[in-house]
Amino acid sequence: MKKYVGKRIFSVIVTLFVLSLFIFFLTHSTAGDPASNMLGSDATEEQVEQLREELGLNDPLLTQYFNWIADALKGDFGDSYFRKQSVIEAIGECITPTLELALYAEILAIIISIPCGIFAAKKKGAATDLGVSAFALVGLSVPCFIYGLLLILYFGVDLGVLPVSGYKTIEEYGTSEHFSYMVLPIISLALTQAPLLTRITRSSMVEVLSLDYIKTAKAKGLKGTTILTKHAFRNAFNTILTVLGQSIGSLVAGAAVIETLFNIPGMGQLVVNAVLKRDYPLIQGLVLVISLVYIVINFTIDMLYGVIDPRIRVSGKS
Amino acid sequence: MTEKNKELLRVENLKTTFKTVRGTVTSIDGVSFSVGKGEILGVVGESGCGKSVTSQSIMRLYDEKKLVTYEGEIFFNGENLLEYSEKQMRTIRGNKIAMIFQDALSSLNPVFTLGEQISEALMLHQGMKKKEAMVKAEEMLRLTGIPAPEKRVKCYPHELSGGMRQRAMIAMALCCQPELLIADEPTTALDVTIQAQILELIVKLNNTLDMGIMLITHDLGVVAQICQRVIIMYLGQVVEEGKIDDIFDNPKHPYTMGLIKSIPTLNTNRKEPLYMIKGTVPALGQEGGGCRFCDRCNYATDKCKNTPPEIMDIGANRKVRCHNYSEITKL
Repeated sequence: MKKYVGKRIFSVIVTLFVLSLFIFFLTHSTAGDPASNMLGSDATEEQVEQLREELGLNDPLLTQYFNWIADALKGDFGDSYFRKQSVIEAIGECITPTLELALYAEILAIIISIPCGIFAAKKKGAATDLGVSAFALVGLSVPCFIYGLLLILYFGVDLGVLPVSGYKTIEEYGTSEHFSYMVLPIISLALTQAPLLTRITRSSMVEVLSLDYIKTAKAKGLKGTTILTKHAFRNAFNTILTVLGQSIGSLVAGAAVIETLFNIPGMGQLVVNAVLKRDYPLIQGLVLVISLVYIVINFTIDMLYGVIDPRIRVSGKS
Repeated sequence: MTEKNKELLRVENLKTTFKTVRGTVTSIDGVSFSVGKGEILGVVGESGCGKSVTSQSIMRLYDEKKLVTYEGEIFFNGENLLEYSEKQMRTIRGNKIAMIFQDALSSLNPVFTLGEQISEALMLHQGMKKKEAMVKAEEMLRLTGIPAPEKRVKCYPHELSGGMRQRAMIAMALCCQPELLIADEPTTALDVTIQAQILELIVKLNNTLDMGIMLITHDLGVVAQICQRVIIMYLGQVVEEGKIDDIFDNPKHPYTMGLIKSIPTLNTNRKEPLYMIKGTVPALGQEGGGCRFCDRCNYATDKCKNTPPEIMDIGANRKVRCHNYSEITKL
């Protein structure tokens, strides 16, 4: 197990290094100049040139990269060009709502999809299965902002029971206030993730249920539900876990639309603004953080594979 | 009647029909046989003849809601299992009737340890606590001759050899002391030395625990070693039944004769091709109107092609399903 973990950590480090290269050169190769953006259209050529010099934008790209990476390794990602704060501070402010939103939405999606998927697999071929599968397919095809708009229209406008815009922290406003603002965005996001999870749960359960050890479990005298939830689900879970990880990642990275719709000051909005203004340090920091979230999720999931399936633990030993 | 010969299981005219996309298929058609207490009954036949379906029908393992319908009667200790509710069946499965399967690797759940899998039935049927059940699980593994059982209870199936896995399957099946053990090709996936050990173990457990065993196999050699009685199945029907010595010394049904003749021995001439029963097992649903074996039979007459033979009691505990058995035997 130790070796397995070690191997994984090493691959994380390599991934991060390659990523940093990629992020840096991609950002700097896009058209547009932050210096002229910062100074506005009235600025003279000289002023722009002076600012470029100050920001170090005139240095060779490799030098710029090494300066950036050297600072980054010390935990300093530089200052945002446009916001009057450091990249770390800017991200720190915005990451909490995004992570909360992703986490809540994922939990809700799991609560909906796993029972649905198991149930559909159990009733494979019956009307209930077809119903669940059809709903999942429809759900998969609808983009999240449609759900968001419909929810706003119904709960916010028609019924007027839920706020449709803004974000309230738990610490300042309490749990119920916090969630009343979050509930609609959570549902919108969960509805986009649940269909895929349902389909994966169903298909991997169907596969497992046809295996011999399910027959053994039945021959032991176990109840149908025990077989389903213990013997079958534990084996089907690794496949579900893979998709779960991708799903959380996509929620963190892709919440921009929902954050904009519900006016939540999260990372999605921050990314969009940073890109529009060519705020190089902020873009680099943000992409790195989002990538890091992905990597951490994948790493955690790789670890969980081993916990769930003893056969994977063994292959790591060798 | 002595205790030893008392009837444990009696299957009467069992008919198992599967619903498939292309209509219904009757894979067992009127099978009758019985297993006595402490007896080892061999069930022999080619692949696809319905051996496994018979055994799984006794346990009612198929999905009855959408897949299968059973007809006939299955008496276990005098009670008809086909009249049992699913809930009642669960008290039988793994408790009174247990089963071991052919491929122990795929039949054991890969994510649970042997101890967990064995103790499950104990906690379910005997109301044991987890700790107690684990101790018993270790004891069962020791009984089946697994070395270092205290370590093996914590092992996962993939960490064991094929023979050990099959022993673990047996431990799992026997932990609640079932009255009937159905062994569905328990040695097919094992090499010959391990096969012999497993068979020896089954016989030993049969003696010490006094349970009835239904041994399903396609290997007549295995049957000859350990069974007292044998039924020969062909295409969903029993074609011959009798004591083991009678069947081997004096087979009545042409199919049984063919099976026995096709066993290679050390004296078999290597230059000559091995004996084969001509043709292959026809698919279910394409049996034709007469005897199911007539296309492959060397002795088939017109009567065989048109009239399906009934199974006949021919005395001395023997039964045979053939119109011409008396003429054939004389040849």
